Amino acid sequence: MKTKLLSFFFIGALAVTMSCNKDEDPNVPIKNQTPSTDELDQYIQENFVEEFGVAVRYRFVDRYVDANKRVTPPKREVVIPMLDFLTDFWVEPFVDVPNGDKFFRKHVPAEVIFIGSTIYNADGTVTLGVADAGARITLTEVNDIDTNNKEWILRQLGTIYHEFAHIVHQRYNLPPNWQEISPEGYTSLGSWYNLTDEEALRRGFVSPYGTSTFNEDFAELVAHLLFVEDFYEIYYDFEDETGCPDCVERNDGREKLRKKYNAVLSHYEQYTGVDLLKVREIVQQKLQ
Amino acid sequence: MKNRFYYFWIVLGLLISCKDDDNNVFDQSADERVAAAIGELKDELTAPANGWRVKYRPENESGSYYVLMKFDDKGYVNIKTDLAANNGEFHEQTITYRIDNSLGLELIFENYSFFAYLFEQDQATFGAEYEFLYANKTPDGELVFVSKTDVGTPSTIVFEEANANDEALLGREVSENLTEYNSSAVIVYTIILPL
Repeated sequence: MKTKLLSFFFIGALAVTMSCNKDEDPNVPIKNQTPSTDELDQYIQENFVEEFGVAVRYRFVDRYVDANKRVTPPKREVVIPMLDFLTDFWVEPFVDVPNGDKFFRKHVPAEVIFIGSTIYNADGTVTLGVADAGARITLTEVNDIDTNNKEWILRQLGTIYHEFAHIVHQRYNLPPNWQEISPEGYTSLGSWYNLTDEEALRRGFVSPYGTSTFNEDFAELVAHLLFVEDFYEIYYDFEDETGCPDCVERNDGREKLRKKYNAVLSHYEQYTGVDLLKVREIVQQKLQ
Repeated sequence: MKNRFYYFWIVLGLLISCKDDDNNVFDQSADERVAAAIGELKDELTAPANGWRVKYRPENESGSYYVLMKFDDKGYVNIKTDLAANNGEFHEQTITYRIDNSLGLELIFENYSFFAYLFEQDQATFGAEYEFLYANKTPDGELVFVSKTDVGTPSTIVFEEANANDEALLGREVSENLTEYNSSAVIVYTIILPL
């Protein structure tokens, strides 16, 4: 009994000594940050931070990139053209379709990082785009911006749409039965690059990289659906099979791709209300 | 017998508990001290009327470039070099710089510049750098930095106070030993899932 009483006393005393002082303010004072007078910072503040809640980082900070990778910062003069490119090909195609405005604002990552060069990996490969847990998209080769260069545009769109699609499956999971459409076709993160585009297609994938995981498969399909001009011709429409064994194999792949295509469209429709085909239409118009 | 231990622990607790004034061992908070250190280096960088002169070697054994730099207190640096690449893009440039702290003070050239251009050569293995760690100030008033990104022995970069006529040092001759990089490597996308 006495022990019990004593332990109560002890706990009580502990609580009293450990609790906060009255004068301790739980709110940490916000550090004073004088708004930048730099024209680029102001442009970003106005058009991206205030508009969409997206911080665009163009000034180099090394923790944005893995320590064993090497990159260069962007040139100052490419920042605004690059932002305009994003508005044109990323913001507009989404916000201009029904439910798209809400979708874009809700899912746009909080940070976009501009990297001037590609990302040079220690093993001699280069990385084009990176998305971290839906919170950040890293765009590379910004210094090479050339909006007349279709190859560059498509490479950037591939990254942007791919990483933006990752955010959707992170939020709402993959479409139901996604894993069962082409289970034998997957390779692994270390060996996907041994496949050719043709082999990927026969397995029911839009790209070799898509074969690496279920998630990459999803992201690659969404990206290709939006930016590949001949999407239907390559991945959807059946070829005449008479006397053409290769065509049969390709059509087998297309059979699977059609399932994925339908799954992706209805997944977006169901969870976001966005019709990806309408987005595609705008993107393709802009690409003309 | 058992009860005595309680008293023992309570007394011990009282004896070793903190004092109210343990919070600030230093006069200033960590943030304030960092800000002061950054401010001091910034004052050093912006002080010389003619800016700084660097005989820049990407590696300690490599050939050198003359670089003249003028830092202002608004965060801009004007860089003049004798590197003729990209049609003279790097003869004169104004970009932003930042003094940051990690393990020590560091000077970062935040936009693409002469330094980033050299850094990117040979698939970014050329040995140049655009992130400098501040080492010390010599008795002669030179500022000494070391490379933050060099693999192996980091190169040392010495900032000397420039003279009014140092621009004459900039030969501005074409540097022929640099070749454009060629990026035809394998493309990798990655996604990092939350832990």
